[in-house]
Amino acid sequence: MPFRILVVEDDANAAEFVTKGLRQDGYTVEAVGTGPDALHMATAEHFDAIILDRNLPGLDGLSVLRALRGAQKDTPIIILSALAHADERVNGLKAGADDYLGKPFSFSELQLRLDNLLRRRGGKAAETSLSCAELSMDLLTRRVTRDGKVIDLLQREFQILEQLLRHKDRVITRTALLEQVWDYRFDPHTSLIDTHMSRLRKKLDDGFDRPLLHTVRGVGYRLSETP
Amino acid sequence: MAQARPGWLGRWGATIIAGTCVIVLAACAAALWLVDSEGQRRIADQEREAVSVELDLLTQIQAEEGNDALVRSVERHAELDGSHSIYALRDAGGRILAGDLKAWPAALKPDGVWTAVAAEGFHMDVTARTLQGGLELMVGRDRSALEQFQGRVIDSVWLAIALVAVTCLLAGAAVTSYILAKVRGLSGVAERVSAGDFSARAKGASDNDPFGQIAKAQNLMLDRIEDLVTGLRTVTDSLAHDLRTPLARLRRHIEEGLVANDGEAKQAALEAALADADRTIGTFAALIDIARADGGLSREAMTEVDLEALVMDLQSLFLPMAEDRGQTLTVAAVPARLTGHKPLLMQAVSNLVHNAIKYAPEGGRVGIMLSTDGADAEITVSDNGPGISAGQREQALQRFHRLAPGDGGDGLGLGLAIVEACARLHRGKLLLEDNAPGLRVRLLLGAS
Repeated sequence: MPFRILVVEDDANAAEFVTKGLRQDGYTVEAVGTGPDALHMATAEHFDAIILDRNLPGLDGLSVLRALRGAQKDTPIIILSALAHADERVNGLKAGADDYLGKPFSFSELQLRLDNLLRRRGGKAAETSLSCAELSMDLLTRRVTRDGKVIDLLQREFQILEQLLRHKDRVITRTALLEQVWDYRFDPHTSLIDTHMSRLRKKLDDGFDRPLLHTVRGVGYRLSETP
Repeated sequence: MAQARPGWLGRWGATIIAGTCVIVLAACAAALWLVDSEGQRRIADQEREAVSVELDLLTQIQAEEGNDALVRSVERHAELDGSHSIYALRDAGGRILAGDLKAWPAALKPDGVWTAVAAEGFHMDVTARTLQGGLELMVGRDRSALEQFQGRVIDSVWLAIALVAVTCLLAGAAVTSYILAKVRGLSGVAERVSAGDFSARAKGASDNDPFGQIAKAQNLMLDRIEDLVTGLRTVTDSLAHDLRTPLARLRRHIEEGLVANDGEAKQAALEAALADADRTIGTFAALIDIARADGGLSREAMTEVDLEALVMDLQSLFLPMAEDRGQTLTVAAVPARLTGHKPLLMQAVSNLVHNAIKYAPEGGRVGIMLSTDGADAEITVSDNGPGISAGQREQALQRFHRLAPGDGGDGLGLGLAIVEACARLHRGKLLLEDNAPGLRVRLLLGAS
């Protein structure tokens, strides 16, 4: 059964962007545009995750969030808000959000966060190994091989690769990598993440005909069999 | 300001002084009247007491020694007491037997009631009683001497009051003009600020008096207002300047994509447009960082930060980048913790390290140093690149200033501005120094 996601967004344009994208990813999506509607839907029906805007008519997003948490509803919630500053993020997490994404955002970053959230909540079976083509990663022994050849990775490189493998065929932004791997939340210098990626690429792809790690220009990185 | 300069005291001061004078004078007059009437009453009581004793004595003399002795006594009293005491004794037929008066005052009845009488040049209070054998005896006191004395006392009291009043007037004028001068000083500063001169400050802020305290508080408030206004102005200028450029570029790339015929060109235009959009978002984020830090909003999000862990983390993050350029990136850190804004500190130090790596030559050296001075901390990032000449250092701190024209535009100018805002938020300072060769940037962080 596909995951059910509730999208709470009063801007019709943005709501359509998110809803359409998530439906393409195979999620079942419901969308509402006001705070009271969101509260009603979230308490009346079951959702696997909620994507919640903050500036909503009727009742603001944080109040909806607090009301849900107050009513013991622990549905995973990602706040998606134009109040993007680190301080506002702290406010959102304090109110009970599981994740916080500032607008404007890239859809791939929302996908990644939603994926991680659903996985953390045990929605997906815990994996012990990940793979992409002839590349495989054993999460228990922390061994990475490609075509049987062992690849030595530093801890950060291992974490980057794990993120890429978990979201195989999808684009991961530099900001998302910095946050997921280093737990940093600041504006990275593009070239900074690129140096880490080029080292990883060297270890993964050198000596193989078919590259697995692709740079998506202007957006981020993608691990995939197909270019 | 086309406002008329008020006079020496101004209408307010003159009104206050005049009002005070009127009130003080009225109070003095009331007090004087009270004292005078009370004194008169007491003196009259005493006189009447004495008069009734005299009457009793003369009555006794008549009863014991007869009428002749009474007449002699009255004569003697009248002679001895001079003009202060007035006596008169008459028989039943109305003939005067003895005393100061030639005729019995017409209105006087021998009923023991006190009566004011004016007769034969005397101005007196008298009382009379009937003795044995129909004789009538009158004893009185002349009031003119008393009234004269009273007049003199009142005159001198008025003189004293006048002296006090003039002194009060002068002292009041002096105090009022002092207070008015101080108040005008403070309000003048407020007026100048209202008129747009945010650098105006009250004088005498170090004085150890209530006005000094007000001036000090006012100046602190004005410092804060100036910071906020300057911040707002800079953000507004910056929005106009630094967002317009990438937005114009973004627009151009979208146009190029629209008119391009082949897919490859469309793709390239889209990528370029996305990069422009990201850059604009980055600039926005940086501006908001600066505005929040300068506005003190970020103060709410301050927590205890392990600075040693922070610089170590950043070194490991930047190490590959430095190594790619053949540079060494070293850290010398002591354990240091401080209440701070972690994301902003991360951003600030990361900007400094990124700049250092960018400007240090291939194979150069970049160093991060963390030291403490009491509860304060200092993070120094140094490189052996070209450095910044002494004259350009001040300019380098100005928001949006870029040292190298045509720089990739990834926010170096804003980068240093964020570091500076971070320093201010942590009650510290940002110093650019000569590393001989290269640049040494010192980020001083104060304990809050």
